[in-house]
Amino acid sequence: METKPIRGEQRAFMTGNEVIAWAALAAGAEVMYGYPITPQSEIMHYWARLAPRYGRRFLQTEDELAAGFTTLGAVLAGEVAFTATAGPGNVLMQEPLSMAEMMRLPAVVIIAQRGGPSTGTVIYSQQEFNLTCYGGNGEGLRIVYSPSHHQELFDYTLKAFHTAWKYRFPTFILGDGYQSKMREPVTLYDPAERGLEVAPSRPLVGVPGTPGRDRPPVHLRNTYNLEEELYEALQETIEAYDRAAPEIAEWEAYRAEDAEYLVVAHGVVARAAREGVRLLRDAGIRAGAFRPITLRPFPQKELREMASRAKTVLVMESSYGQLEREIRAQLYGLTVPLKGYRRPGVGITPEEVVREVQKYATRSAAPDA
Amino acid sequence: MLERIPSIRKAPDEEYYVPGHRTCAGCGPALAYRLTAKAAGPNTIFIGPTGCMYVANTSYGCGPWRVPWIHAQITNGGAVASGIEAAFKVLARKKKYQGEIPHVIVFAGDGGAVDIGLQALSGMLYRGHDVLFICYDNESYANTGIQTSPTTPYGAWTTFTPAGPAVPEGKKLFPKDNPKVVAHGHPELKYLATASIGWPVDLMNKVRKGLNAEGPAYLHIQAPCPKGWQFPPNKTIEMAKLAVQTGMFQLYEYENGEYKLSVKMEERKPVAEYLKLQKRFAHLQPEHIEKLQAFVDARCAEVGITVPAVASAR
Repeated sequence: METKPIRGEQRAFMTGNEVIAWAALAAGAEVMYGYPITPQSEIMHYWARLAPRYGRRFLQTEDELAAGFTTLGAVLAGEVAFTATAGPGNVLMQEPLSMAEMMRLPAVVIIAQRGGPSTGTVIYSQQEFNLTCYGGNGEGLRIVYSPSHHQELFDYTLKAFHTAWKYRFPTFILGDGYQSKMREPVTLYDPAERGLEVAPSRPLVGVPGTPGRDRPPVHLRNTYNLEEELYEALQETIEAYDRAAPEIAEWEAYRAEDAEYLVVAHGVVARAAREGVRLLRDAGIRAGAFRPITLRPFPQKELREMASRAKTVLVMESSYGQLEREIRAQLYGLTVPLKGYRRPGVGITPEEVVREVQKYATRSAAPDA
Repeated sequence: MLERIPSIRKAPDEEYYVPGHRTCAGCGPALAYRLTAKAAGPNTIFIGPTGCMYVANTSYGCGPWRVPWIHAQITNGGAVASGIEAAFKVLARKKKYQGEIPHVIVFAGDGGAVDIGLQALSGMLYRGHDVLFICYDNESYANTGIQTSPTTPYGAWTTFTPAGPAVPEGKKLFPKDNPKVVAHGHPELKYLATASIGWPVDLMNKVRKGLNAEGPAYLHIQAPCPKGWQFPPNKTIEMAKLAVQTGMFQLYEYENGEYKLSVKMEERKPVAEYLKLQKRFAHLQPEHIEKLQAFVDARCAEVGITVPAVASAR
């Protein structure tokens, strides 16, 4: 049976959901668990069709709780497993993912954000920022990548499998309905041919030998009896997270070095920010864009440097201040004015970026948009 | 008490599920809804967990119901209904509500009844709420793009069970039998039946019996889906009838621990006659059809359908 889904490089024009299915195959994911929900179901459609060709498997569960927990079961058994969900499914997914956080289980979860709260729309939003970064009854010890185009969907899905198993924190690809459903050109490749590493999985239960004699015991706890016990265990996890954070954090800036007006956006909105900045620069306005690629851990140092040189920071998002609240916390103590542009559940265009920045810009020459 | 409807001619003229929805042509669940609403009458509250009968009926803020209707998440039709029913009881007891207590009906798809919604359904039945829980079974997650559900038959193609060289039969698992799950584990259950849109008078009378029962009732309606099952939209009723005539779906009531069959059959048609009309089964090989026939024979025997499957004369 063919085991390598991709050899060499392949140019393709496909939807984001299809890109993710290919990326998971290329990363060596062995099994996917899931429950249908728009706009991510096609990840599972493609996976269910492609997986048997490469000896991989798919299991449909009865809900997202089960999808998350079956994924963790597979991880415990030593498989590279993943799942995908959206909106209300992401809410249910928080229970298994909290357990993953507590027990330091690696798992990859693809989120295709849709409008909320609750059923909301099946279309698009960035309203699952809080939920994905900080959901569950814990401390948000997760890794969250926010890709903004299809090449990144491929690159970061590959990377997520590596990061999750290397650092053993639940790892998310925070996409959205736009990215899921639209088609874009993308280059698919085999990570091994580019020298990219994918950290190996190993079984956590059913390991041969007697614990304590032949091997150290595997003792993954989800319950603690004493306050101090939990506190100490959490300190260890928090320290591990903080140690890993600088290695994981990623960001991207566009003409931000000398920017007076710094637009901060993530995901697909960052594309509008970039194009808006280009138009503003053409019009003689010194605008720049900053984009956190990892929302958890957050690239604080770089943003603070750029923000401290700006006259105004403008946070633009398809949610009602979820990113803005995070940016406020990250920039705490700086005197630069921080403005927000909040469009919960609605897309943002480059023209809106231009219009919003112009409200604050001293020069008001309108660019030819 | 709602009276028995003797014939289709004597069924009420009034409709409570009216035009203005966006279901597919030939939609089986929409017809099931219309018949249910007609039988239940004006003093009814519907709870609609996420599914086709929520999504296609409520686009752009429209709704085809002439009675109150509320959406519940796909997880919890039974829970929302329990809350409504319990509240009416309390309001009546405290004399804050003087009218006749409305019929409370959950109208859930197979996902919202048999899969993700089973826990809330079971809780509602266990606690004995006076609610009629209806599953309109179109045998897949149709509104999200035809994914398999626990009631999808063995051998059916869905987007999650594609047939190919590795898995030639498509869906490998045999379907969950929710009426049996419900019937045998809920002591408070007052009435249980299965129904088909191919037998509309029978369906309406079962709705009425379920509503007349003082306590929880469960009605499982098979409702063919032209899009998901891949047959022409003018064949919906034919498909519903064939399902019963082949024994793929069995029509019965379950009362006092006994199955009471709803239609008399001299013989059954072989399942192959049903399968060949639906493209979701087009990939099946003779050995798969045999396996399915054996499964259907056994399931029929369980409820007392003992007549054999006989190929019709050509």
